[in-house]
Amino acid sequence: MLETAGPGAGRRPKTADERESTLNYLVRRFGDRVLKLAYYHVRDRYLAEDICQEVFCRVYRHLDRFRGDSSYYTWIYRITMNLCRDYKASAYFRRMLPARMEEEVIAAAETRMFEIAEGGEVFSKVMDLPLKLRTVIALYYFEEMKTAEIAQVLGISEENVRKRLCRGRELLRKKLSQEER
Amino acid sequence: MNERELDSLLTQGKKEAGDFFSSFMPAPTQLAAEAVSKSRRSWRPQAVRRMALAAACVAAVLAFALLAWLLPHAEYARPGAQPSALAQADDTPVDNVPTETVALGEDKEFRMNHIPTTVHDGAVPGIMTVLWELSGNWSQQMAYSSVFEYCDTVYPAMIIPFSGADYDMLLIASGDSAHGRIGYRLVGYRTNAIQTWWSRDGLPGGDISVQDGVAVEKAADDSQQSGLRVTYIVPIQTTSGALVLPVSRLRLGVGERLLLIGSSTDDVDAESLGGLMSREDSEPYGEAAEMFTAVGTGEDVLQISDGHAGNSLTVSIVEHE
Repeated sequence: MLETAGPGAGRRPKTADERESTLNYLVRRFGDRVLKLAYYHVRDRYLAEDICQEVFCRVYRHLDRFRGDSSYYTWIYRITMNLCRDYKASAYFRRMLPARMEEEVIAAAETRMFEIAEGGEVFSKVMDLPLKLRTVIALYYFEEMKTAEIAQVLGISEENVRKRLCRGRELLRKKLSQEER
Repeated sequence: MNERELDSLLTQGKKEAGDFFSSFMPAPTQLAAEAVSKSRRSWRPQAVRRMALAAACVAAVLAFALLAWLLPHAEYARPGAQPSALAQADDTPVDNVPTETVALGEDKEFRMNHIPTTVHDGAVPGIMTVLWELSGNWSQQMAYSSVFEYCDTVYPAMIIPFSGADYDMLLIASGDSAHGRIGYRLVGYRTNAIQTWWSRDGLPGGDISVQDGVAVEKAADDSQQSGLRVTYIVPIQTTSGALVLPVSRLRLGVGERLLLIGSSTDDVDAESLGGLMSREDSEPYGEAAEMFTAVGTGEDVLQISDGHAGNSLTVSIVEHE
């Protein structure tokens, strides 16, 4: 569910103590969700933890700029998505990736360090979905977010969220059905 | 598998996700302390770093201003030279390339220079392509630059016309003649800056051109019958809330690919209504991209959306000639 602003709602924290108190509250409240969102996006535990830490660094630095016109939750999730996208759009993945390496990178991605950790048949099949689909499937079914919230977090329309949920379910059904045979 | 069974499995997946994440959740207090500590470390030297960065920027601007003054006077370049002869030429050794003027719109003209350079402490040769934005009073400022590593030849500037959008787009390419590879950048003008929509480096046996209003990439690929993998690159622009494509129809051969690409901040979604275009996993290409492969002959329609606006592209797919 969408969260309203936390302690001192509507009032920007001014002193260092207030800022740290607000940060502690936000980390307790949203830390695990930020980490999960980052992981759904980048599929690397250590990178997700780095992103999570960077998210809260930025939250801490910009607390006094937070205008309260959206919920903390939406603001923090948007920071998370932007950092994940920055990672994806970085030189390593776009400009410095020679043509033939694409297939090698995809194959290597399948043997990254998460492969031992991602236990559970269904969870790993969801994580095998293409990025755009697994994010909405994971946020809807695992994090129990509503389509409106997912749309806000990902910066897309609700209609797109619903379309991706349909496509994701269909693809997942095929993957899981193949496993059953 | 019916819907109820799938829902049941997804519930199981939720539990599996919970178990998985429980193994690597950092303690909240630890995370908060690390965030504060890291913020403080980056804050204290920030003022010093800002001053150093400002000094570096001033030095860079002075260096480029000097280059801008020197280059038009160089033996091989004439200010404002039109690329008339060069446009029909193939890629040209960089030393023989005159300055080109490229116009992306009525009020958006750029001068393009190609400067031999080295990177990685002089270990790697390359070409730096620079776009200078022209304004009144003969003044110009650097709008964009990109290094093509290992390249020594230059393609003429290629414009992708965009009726319906504020600006056309530009394809810049360079070649590595020793290894038969190319690199290119597809750039456009958005939010008062030149931005890269798509870029590639080191394409083997590669070629890039503009055909029928879109960019066409060809790269050597032994897995293809023809030995070449062909990709049609269709950039997407958003203008006044509308999603604009450079063309409304396209013709592909079976096995050829189509890449829909927005700017880096877009989230592009597309669907093949006729099922003749098979979607690839877009993860290697980013969220601003959708890659399709033509798998059947006939006519298909791709319904495209960036989450806010939509458009469609009609694709005619034929067997290879």
